[in-house]
Amino acid sequence: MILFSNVSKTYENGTKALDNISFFIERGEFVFIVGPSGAGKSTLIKLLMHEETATSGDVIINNVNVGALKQNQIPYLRRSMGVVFQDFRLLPKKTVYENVSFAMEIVGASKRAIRRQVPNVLSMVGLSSKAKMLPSQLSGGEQQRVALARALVNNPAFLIADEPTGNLNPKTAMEIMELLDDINKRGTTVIMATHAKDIVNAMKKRVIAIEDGVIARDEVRGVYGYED
Amino acid sequence: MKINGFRYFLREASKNVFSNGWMSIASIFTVLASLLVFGLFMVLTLNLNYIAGQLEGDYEIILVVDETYNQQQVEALGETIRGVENVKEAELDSKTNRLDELKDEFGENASLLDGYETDNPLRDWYKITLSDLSRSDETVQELEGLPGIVKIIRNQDTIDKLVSMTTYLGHISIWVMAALALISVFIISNTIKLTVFARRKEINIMKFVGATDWFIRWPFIIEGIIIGLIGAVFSFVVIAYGYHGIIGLLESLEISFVDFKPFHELVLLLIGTFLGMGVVLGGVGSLISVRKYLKV
Repeated sequence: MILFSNVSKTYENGTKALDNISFFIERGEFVFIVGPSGAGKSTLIKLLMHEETATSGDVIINNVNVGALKQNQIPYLRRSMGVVFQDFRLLPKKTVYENVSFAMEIVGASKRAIRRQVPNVLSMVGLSSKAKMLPSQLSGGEQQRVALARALVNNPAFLIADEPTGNLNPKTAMEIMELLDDINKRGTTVIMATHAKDIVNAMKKRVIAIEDGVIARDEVRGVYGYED
Repeated sequence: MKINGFRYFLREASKNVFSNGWMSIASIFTVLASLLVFGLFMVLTLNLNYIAGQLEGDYEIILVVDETYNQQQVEALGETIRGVENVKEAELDSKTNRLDELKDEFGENASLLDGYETDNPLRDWYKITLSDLSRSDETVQELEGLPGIVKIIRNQDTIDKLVSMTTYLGHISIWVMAALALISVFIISNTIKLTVFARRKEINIMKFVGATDWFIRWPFIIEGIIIGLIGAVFSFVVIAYGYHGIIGLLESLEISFVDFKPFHELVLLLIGTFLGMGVVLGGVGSLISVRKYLKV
């Protein structure tokens, strides 16, 4: 579970990105974080990943107060979550298979476990036939699937997606969303920051809307609600 | 470090050395250049110390023996002198011998020395050399206490100059080598910084997938060590050949009034220092350059 309790974040240059935000995300939920550019979505994601720390308030993930973590404990926090970005962030010189197995090598998995798990997760995202290709040989949607496979290969409790469909055409974007929905149905908590109005409206999931650093809405079966 | 992990680090590191082609070659040349300057200085210092050591070792102190002593007593005294700590060698220069030399020197005026054979006023000498010239004072003091030695002839000024020169050389060489090592680490860390910069995305990805800092560092450090070792081997070969060549040349010209340190006495020290420097330069250089990108 994830708990934000009176969280504020002010950057060093004085920009106030988040102002006294509180919400709770239950295990197994699917949550959209929506809002205009600069509203604080990215900051919220960064706080989850401990790329930034809150200026005040507490961020609690799985009963751990993230703000109190020491530098050498942060990697272990990140292993409890898979992350997907708008720009995929794959390693261009590694094959699809290697991009995924890499995430397991990093956490010290055995060779045997890697050989068991990587084909599984590649088949789940529908890329078994492209395992030996390089990212540059794949379409955008396929690259995002590789990123998803990498995010999921270590069976994280949370999947954090920052504009995962931002670089994809509508049809491919919907395919990725179906995949995310599948992943969510298997029990992984999904938190997705997005601009994609159609997707939010179609999925009918919980929506947390952020405007000017405060929560404007928090609806169980919400809609996007902005005209942009 | 688990075996799995270590294999991964080694594989990544060696793969990176190759895939970074030109960058690796540039780094190897940097190490090579730094170690050549370092090695040149080291060889020079070692030889200066060696030569100074020779001069020190050759420096003779003269012990004048009591003229009432008979031959047996003189020889016994010789044994006692050789037994004194820090005395390297003691050679008897007998009065008859010295008289012969004197006669040679006088040549046609040797008649001045007529009658000396029957009643030789000269005294027996022991010429000694010391193992450690800097401790000459205490040794001389001990020798002065020996019965049978009436006078000790030494040039304290020369001794002091020699000793201070060798200590001075020792100090300077340590500082210069330390400075050279520092400069080398700086240059190498800058070169490796470029390879780290080229892979900053990879480092960033590793960070958000949950890699620990040391997991990210190790391949870079090992890469640096590999580069350092290759550079060390090349620079050792260059220095070794160069040393052989130059010493051979100097000896064939027969102008050298002193001996140079023979290569076989240098070789282990050189290999050890170069490999050690290679490992340290490469490893520390990588460590410094990767640091900045870990703060995510």
